[in-house]
Amino acid sequence: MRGPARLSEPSTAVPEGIPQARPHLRAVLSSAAYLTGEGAVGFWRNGLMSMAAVSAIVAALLAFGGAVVSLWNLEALALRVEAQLVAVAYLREDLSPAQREAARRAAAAIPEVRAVSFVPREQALRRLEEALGGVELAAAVSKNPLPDTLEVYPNRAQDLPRVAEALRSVPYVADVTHGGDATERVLALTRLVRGAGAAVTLAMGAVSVVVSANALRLTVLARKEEVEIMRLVGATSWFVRWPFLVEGLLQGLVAAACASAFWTAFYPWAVARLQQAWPFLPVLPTLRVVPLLVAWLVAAGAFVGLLGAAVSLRRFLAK
Amino acid sequence: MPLIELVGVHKLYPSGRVALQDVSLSVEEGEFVFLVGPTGAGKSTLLRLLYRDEVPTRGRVHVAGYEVHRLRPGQVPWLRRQLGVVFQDFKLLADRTVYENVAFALRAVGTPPEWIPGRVRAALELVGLEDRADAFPRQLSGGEQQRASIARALANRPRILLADEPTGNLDPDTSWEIVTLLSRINLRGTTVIMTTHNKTVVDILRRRVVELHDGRVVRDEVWGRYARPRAAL
Ligand SMILES: Nc1ncnc2c1ncn2[C@@H]1O[C@H](COP(=O)(O)OP(=O)(O)OP(=O)(O)O)[C@@H](O)[C@H]1O
Ligand SMILES: [Mg+2]
Repeated sequence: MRGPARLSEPSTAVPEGIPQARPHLRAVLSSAAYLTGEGAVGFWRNGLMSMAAVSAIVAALLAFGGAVVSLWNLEALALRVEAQLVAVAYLREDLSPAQREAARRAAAAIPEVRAVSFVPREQALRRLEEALGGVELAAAVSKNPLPDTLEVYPNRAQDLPRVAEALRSVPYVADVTHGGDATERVLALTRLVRGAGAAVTLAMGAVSVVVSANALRLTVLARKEEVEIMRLVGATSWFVRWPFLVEGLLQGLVAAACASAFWTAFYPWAVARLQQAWPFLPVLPTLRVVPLLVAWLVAAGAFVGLLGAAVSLRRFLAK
Repeated sequence: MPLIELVGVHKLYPSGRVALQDVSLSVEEGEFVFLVGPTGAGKSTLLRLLYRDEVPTRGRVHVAGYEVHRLRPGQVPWLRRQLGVVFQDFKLLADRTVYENVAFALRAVGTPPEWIPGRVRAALELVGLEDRADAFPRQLSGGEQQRASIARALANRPRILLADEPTGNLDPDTSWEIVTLLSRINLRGTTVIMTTHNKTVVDILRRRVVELHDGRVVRDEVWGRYARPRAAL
């Protein structure tokens, strides 16, 4: 048997007829503007603490930038080394087009070969000029000293020595060179460095979040009374959180601006120094690195600041 | 239905301390209630249950139509907007002026900016502090600070004012000032519940008195005194 039906069991804990304050868009926008201003005021008012947070994030972003820049350059280097996984067959001089074609076909017929490309001596000279930084070699030498070559790409890196050996018996080939074991070792090293670079970047990212969260903790503690009052009078939780998120974001963005300024000045300088010391070291040009790096720094700074604020709020504004 | 109603409320703190036992109480809109009793009797705890700073271990709490005992955290702000709360230590923000302290509370509940100056002025006039709007809390006397905190509690025009020992830090004359102010606020229609140890004030005003003892309601009188009248008197 069931007990008597409860007469007035309301379905919700909230009374009818009381405005549930679905606020108007205008009010929301004005609140958002106000809260953003509060965040900025907080950033300014907490001068020293903000500076501490910004410095911490700047340090992390400098390291992050360093890792990113090294990684990019290493990747470019790795691409070059991988591109050099090639056996080069120097052709005898003064071959007819038909003889050159016969040599190309014979090379392509080697089972482990993926591709063969014919590089005429004029193109080889132009490449050399480029590699030397735009020197006008053609004008300096009366006769092109370079031979025609076949660039022969193996299916797999480890096929390279066998492909080179087979090339020696291809007709009209005068000589064959290849990186061999050295190439293999460079490749392995590159992979290692690439992994290490990514790991360092990730670790630095994690460290900067922790540092930023700890700096923001000071801000959160400094505003504890304000938060208590806001909650007491009925502020919603997003209203309470917003200024902290803005403040974290500001810290991240100011830090990103500092780090960007540093890298914008430092990278071209470092490139110039490096090229002075090792002219043949392949380094990415400033214009290919700095704009993208700045975008990454801004994104990383914003992310770190917001995440730091979120972590602090979770840990110190619980309840 | 009464504006405030507690039914069979128990409160057991995690420490194991029983602060309220089987408390039932109802307060109609417009009432003025003194909550008295020795220290540790559970007065502050009862108020905390009303503004959902604590939840009852057992029993039901209804405030302004909200079922406070089963309110989800996301709904708490809407309950709090029906209440103003005032404390013994004022809880004013030291780095903001009186005006800013009141405006801060209005802002926190999303009051449109163009309404704020008028609302702040009205609240400050109500408590007689319009001349001190630009003063910082440390430049005010204790009584003035308490009036500022009352202005903040009332700025959002709540139906209920909860005051936890609002005169606890004040000298007798100032205490009297504050209690008169609360009475005036009550006459304008706001329901007031005030905890106090101030015998003089309770005995002169002769309002409803609810006495707690070891977490139980031991007395509830319409025109009560601070202490239970002795048989000899
Ligand atoms: N947060 C808490 N955790 C554990 N015990 C608490 C907590 N708050 C209060 N108590 C205990 O609950 C009992 C009631 O406390 P409460 O503060 O409600 O008393 P009160 O009547 O307001 O006393 P007073 O007149 O001194 O302000 C006391 O024994 C107190 O020690
Ligand atoms: Mg108390």
